[in-house]
This record gives sequence, C-alpha cells and structure tokens, in this order.
Amino acid sequence: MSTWRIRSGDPKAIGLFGRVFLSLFALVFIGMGGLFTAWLVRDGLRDLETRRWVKTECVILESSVQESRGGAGTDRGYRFQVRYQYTFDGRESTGSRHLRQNKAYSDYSQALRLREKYPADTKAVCLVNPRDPAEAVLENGSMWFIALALFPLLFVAVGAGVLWFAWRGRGDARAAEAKALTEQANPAGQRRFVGVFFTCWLLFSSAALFFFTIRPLTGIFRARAWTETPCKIVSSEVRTHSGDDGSTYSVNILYTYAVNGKEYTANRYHFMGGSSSGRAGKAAVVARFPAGAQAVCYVNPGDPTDAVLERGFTADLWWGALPALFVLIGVGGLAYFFGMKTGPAVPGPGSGVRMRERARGGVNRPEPRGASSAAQAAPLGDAGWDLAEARVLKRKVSPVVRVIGAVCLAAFWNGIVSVFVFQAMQTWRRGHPEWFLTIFLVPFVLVGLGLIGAVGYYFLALFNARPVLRISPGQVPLGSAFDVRWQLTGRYHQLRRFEVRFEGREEATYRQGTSTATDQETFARLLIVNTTSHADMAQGQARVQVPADTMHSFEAPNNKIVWALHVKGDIPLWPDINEEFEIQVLPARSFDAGGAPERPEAAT
Amino acid sequence: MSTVKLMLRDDRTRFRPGEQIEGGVAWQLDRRAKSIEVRLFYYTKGKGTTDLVVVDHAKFEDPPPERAEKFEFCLPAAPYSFSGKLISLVWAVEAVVLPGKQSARLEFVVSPSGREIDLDQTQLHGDRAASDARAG
Repeated sequence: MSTWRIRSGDPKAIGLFGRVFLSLFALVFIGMGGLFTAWLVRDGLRDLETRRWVKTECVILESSVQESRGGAGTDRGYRFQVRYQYTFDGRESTGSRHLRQNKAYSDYSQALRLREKYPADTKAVCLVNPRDPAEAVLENGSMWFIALALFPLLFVAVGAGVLWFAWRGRGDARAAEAKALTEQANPAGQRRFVGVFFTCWLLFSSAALFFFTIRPLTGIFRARAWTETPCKIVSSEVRTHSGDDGSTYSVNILYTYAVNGKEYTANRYHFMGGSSSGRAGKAAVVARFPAGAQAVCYVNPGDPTDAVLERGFTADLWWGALPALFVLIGVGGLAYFFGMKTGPAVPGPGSGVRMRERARGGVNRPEPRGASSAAQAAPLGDAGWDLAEARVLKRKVSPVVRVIGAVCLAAFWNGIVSVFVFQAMQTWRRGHPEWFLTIFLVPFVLVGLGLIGAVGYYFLALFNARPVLRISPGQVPLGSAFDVRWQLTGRYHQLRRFEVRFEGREEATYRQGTSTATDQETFARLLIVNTTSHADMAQGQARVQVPADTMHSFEAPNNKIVWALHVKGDIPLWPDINEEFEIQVLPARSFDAGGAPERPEAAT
Repeated sequence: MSTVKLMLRDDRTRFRPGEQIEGGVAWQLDRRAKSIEVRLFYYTKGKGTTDLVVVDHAKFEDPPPERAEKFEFCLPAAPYSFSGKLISLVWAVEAVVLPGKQSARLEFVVSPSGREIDLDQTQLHGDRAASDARAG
C-alpha cells in the first residue's frame, strides 16, 4: 500500500503572473550564484597555476607585519610584507608576494606567524614562474576555493529548482494526459529531493557549528592551560564592517607581550571571532582596555604567537546554540528521509488491505495485510466492532496547549520584531529617526500586540467551565445510533447560552502559489442542544442517528471527512467556550443490517 | 503504436465494499516491455491536492507482444466513493505498460448501495433526552 500526493497536473497550478515572478526571482539567484562561482573558480584556478612553478632557493631580504588601512576604523587588516631575492636561469630577480594574491588577516597572529616562518636574512624556497621568471611566490594557494564555490552553487541550484517548479506544470499537463494516474506520483523523486535538501542543510549547518561553536569552545578549553602573561595595550578600537544589511562591529585590541625575552604582538580578544551588530557592547570592552594600559593576556606555551585577552566564556558564545539547532533540524530531516518509503510505488501482488479501525479507532487508512485475507477485506459484521463500551471524547486542542502555543508564537514573533524596533528606537534616540523603518515596522508591531492579546485571551479561557463528552457505544458505524452525554464542570453559571452540535465536514488542503490553504465545507449539521438553562447545561444527553447513506470518516494527507461534536458556550465579557471533539464514524457494520443497499446493478 | 485495453467482468461499474472485482487486460505491443501492471487504486478529486492510494496490483512479467490476461482483486471495506462540494473520491483500475507511457483506466463506484455517496444528501436525526431542550 502506498499513499502519495500527485504533484503534476495539479488544478491549482501557478498562474502566468506567478510564473513570471518566480522566474525573475530564480534568474536573480542563478545570475548572482553563477557570478560568484565563476569569480571563485577563476581566482582558484589562477592560484593552482603556482603548483607547476619551479622551486628555487631565495633569500628573505625583508619581513614584517603591516596594518592595511581602509577608511577610518573600517575593514582594516594585517598584511605579511615580504621581499626576497632569487636567481632563475642566471637572472637575478626580487619578489614581494607571499601568495599569488596577498591577503590581509583580521587576526594579527596569522600574519605574525608568516613573519616568524620567513624571518629576514634567512634562506627559503620560493616558486618561480618558468614562463615569466620575474613572477614568484613563497607558497601555493589553498584548495579551499573548491569548497567555497559550493556555497554560491547552492544559490544556482535553488534558482534552477524554482525555475523548474514555475514552468514544469505546462509540460507535465500535456504529459499527464498520456501518463497513467498512478505513474504521476513519484515517491522516489520526492525522497531524493528530501535527501539532497537535508544533506546540504546538514553540511552547511555543521560547518557553521564548527566555526561558531566547536572552534571557540575548543579554544576556551585549550587556553585554560595557557600561561598568564603581562601585556601592554598598543591600540584599542571598535571596528566597523559595512554590509548590505547594515554595519556590524568587532573589537580590535592590539597588545604586545614578551616570551623568553622576545616581544610578540597579537590582537585576539576572545575565541568567538567575527563581527556582529550592537556597538555598545564592543565599546564597553574597548573602554576596559585603553591604549597604553597594562593588562593580562594568556599565551600558548607551544606557540608564543598564539595569545588571547579573554579566555573564559563570553555572552556572544550563546550564538553558537543557533547552528546547533540547525544541525538538529538537519539530523531530524535526514532521519525522516531514511524513514521514507523506498520500496516500489505499489505493493506486492495480492497484498490487499485490511482496516485499521480496531487498532487505532479510525477507519480511514487501509494498510497492507497478508496474502490470503479476502475475508478480512469484506464488510465487517457485528463481530468486527467493539460496540459495548462507552467512551469519553478527547477535545481536539487542550486549553493549556493553546496557551503554550500562543506564548511560543508571541515570543518568537515579538522577539524578532523587537530587534528591529530596538534599531529604530536607537535612530530616534540619536536624533536621526529612520522614518521608513519606523513606518515599515508598524504592522509587524500590531501583529505582535495581537499575539500578546491572544495569550491573555487563551489564559483567561483556562478558567472556563470544562465540557466532558461521553458517547455510547464508543464506536459509531454508519447506519447506527449513539448516545451523547455532556457534563460541564467548573464555573458554568457564567454561561449565557450553551450549544452542542454534531457536524460532518469536508477538509481540502491545497497549494496556492507558495503557501498552503485548507478549505472546509460542512455537509451535515444536527443541533443537539441549545439552551439558556443552567440545569440543562450542567448535564444532559441525546441520541443521534447517523444515516447509512453518508460517508464515514476519511483521512488522507490533503483530503478529509471529519465528524465532530462542537461545544459552544457564550460568556459575557469573557472568552467563550469553543471546543471540538472528533468522532470516528466507521463504515457500515453490515449492509443488510444497515438497511441500505440492494444488490448493485450491473452497468449496461 | 502499442495499445492496452481494460475491461471489467459484465462491464460492471458498481461494487460493494469487500466484493471481488474481476476483469481482463489485453495488449498489443510494438516494443518489448518489462512488465504490465494492473493497479487497483482510489484517488481524490476536487479542491484539495490529489491523494492517491494504490491498494493492490497484479503484475505480468515479460509480456509477449500480444495477449489478454485475467485479473481479480478483493475490494477493501473502505473508503466509499463519494462526492461533496470540495472533494470526490474515485475508485479505478489502471493498466500500465512498463517502462513507457501506455496505459488504460476504468473508473467505478464502491459503496454499500452501489451508488456514489452524495454528501449534500446527508440527513441527521436526533432526540434530546433532557426535559426542555430542543433537538435539531
């Protein structure tokens, strides 16, 4: 037995406007991703060329670390400056490049290590371009560009996927006419997509986990054994890094210290590198370490270039919890992938079906059975159902769950919105209000206030009278009757009106563009009680007849037939009672006993 | 061009849940096929995204270029064929030539009465056991 959703030939196909919009969106993704990939690959291939250059002895003439200056306080780094002399084909030349493309390091010690590796007045081996001996480097470039190129390629893949999604409907609609209905569903394709998506997700979130969580934590634990060393602050500043989404800031404190009589310089404040928003926190750190002040730093005894000012846990390490959460999502997704059906689209020959209702109190999903169970598949007689026991119905959503759900949603929404509200408030405080941002935030703030209101509403509803519904017999086949008893516990005297309805409804879930919607249509309704008498509210009972010629409960991923008892209590100036109790209506026990059908006619 | 045809015994189009459904499949193939499958399934139509469940199938491996074969399935107890404002549920058998796109499909009704259930015709009845309240 296989259940799946047919993806092609969907009547809710995207309109032309949607296709054009999605295509433009996709083309931007493909274009940007392609451009970055090409750029990374071009630079990477250029670096690879040095691997074919000729190793030649050279003499280091000069070696130092220089600060490369951007604008005032913006995007500066430290460069390894070198000059070396070599002789190739009898011709003497001078080189000044460490790599094919020299780079600036945000961490001073990275440049310092190169200076220590290539000290002045020592011999080294450089790589000389045999086609142009004036060109030389000290080291080959990294192969990391291959891994880096995967990142923009992901954008290309997303763009291509969106483009395929936008336009596949046209071709598939034609193909679908010729294609068998059972062939249009493609569980293997769905499984493949889930697998690829969550593998990529896990790879990227694991990389983020390594850089933002594991590496800083490892540093903290290693530094516990480092040597406490006096140091002098040379300079101290908050660096600004401009980006598309606004500026971020980092602490840059340059300090010197001595190990075995030799002076070293470093600029690592703590193990959580990078930059983030929030200038005030960084400014406070900088204020603690003014230029010229004496401080204590911690130095790696195995590598004196490796030092840190703050070796303990800092508040920004909490950001490391975020990639950990993403990794968990990735692991969960892959677990789902491995749990997905891998077998053929159809069951083995003669697998047939049996009903699940006795196992789970539901009717709706047939499931595979053994090879010789034709009798089981036949309509069940009285012996098929357990009709003796009464059953207390469970409400669809518990009031406590509603409160918890509302609190989580309100906290999530308002947590995100508050970050932007804070940014907007800062602009007002500084006397340069950002009007666009402020006006843009208004609807988001209103939704947030609405969610806080919902928390209060559901919290008050916790103190409402609680309806308890009991049906007898506990299972309801088509064509049978059942007794329903209600009882209200708690403050039911507050109620102005009380109502119990029995309803059958259709529920259809469909995609509209990129969102999912569910429509409901009630096809049967019976008002069981509608009273203003508190005595009748407190408890009562009624008998309900379910006709034989209607539909039993049915549940598929996107389509459902739901039978339920609805309880409504009207309370003045207080949240009303509004509860749903689902009832599984089963197929008829016996057609003849159900009073329904004559023998089906043969078609002509 | 390959052709595949399906037929049900006595050309029946209405069945009761649990009944035996018998029929035949005939094919003429102009290319070699790996197998021909006859699938018993139901699917939903209407506003919701289609759900499809293959209930059973019969497989004819290495089919010769031309032949007719019988098949039979036992229908399950549910779901019934129905039609409402949003959803319809349709039962069918389908023959598919694999690999390829050739197929044939026959739709039929499964319900205790042999007629598709019309949700709009549903009438509920009840009696209030308490003293003065009204029953719908």
